[in-house]
Amino acid sequence: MKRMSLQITCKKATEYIVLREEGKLSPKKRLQLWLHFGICGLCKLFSKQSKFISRNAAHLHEHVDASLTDAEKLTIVESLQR
Amino acid sequence: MAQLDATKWVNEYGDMLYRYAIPRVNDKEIAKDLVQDTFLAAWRNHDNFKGEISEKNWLFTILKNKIIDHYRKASTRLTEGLPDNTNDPFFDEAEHWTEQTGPKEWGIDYTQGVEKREFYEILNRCRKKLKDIQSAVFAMKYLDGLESEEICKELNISASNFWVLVHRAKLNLRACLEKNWVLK
Repeated sequence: MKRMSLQITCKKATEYIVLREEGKLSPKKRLQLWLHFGICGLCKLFSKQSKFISRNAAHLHEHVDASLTDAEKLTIVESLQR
Repeated sequence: MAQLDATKWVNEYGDMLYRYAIPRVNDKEIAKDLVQDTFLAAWRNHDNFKGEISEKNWLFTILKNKIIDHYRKASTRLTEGLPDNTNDPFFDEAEHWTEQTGPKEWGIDYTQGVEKREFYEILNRCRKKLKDIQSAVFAMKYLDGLESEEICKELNISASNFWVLVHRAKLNLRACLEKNWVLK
């Protein structure tokens, strides 16, 4: 029987980290990622930062305070009346 | 149906629609064009407006469709957003982090939110550096919180391509934020 390889690269690990955030990681991949975290502090750090970005990106739209200028509004109004 | 007043309409809903579109397309000019297109489409089809939903929701529905159309245009250039395997800037030949590209400690509490305006400005600048298709999946996934299956269907892309795009977007944004927000 072929032995199941449990070692993954950092590139793979970061792929799995992104998948895991949506709960789309199989048990085997979860185990591989967990073992990888045991030997790789950088990927552990990537995981924290990735989650941080996901969570804060969801609030991006709360930080928009732009408005259309009066001239821009007038252009739209005129285009409607044309 | 009452006589429509274009000025009143644009004054009442223009900014609201504009602010909705900006973070999703991450470009003020494009956002403005989409808002104008939305008003035009609504104006021309006003006879079909049944009043079953509010006028405001009706306008938002039209705008959302315009935004999806905008994303779809990016998805026709899908291959631009997929990595060229011959030259991966993040990992070495053994697919491990390099000294330069490996994540650095940011010195923050990662479980907390960010209130600082600066962070969002830099995040948006970093988003501009993404390929259009990466930016589109990023907006649909993280701003609108859509499930991957739904995004694949809307953009007509495969699940494996979708995950490659999200992965690349994440790698790029993380590196860009680190460089411009954390280590600046």
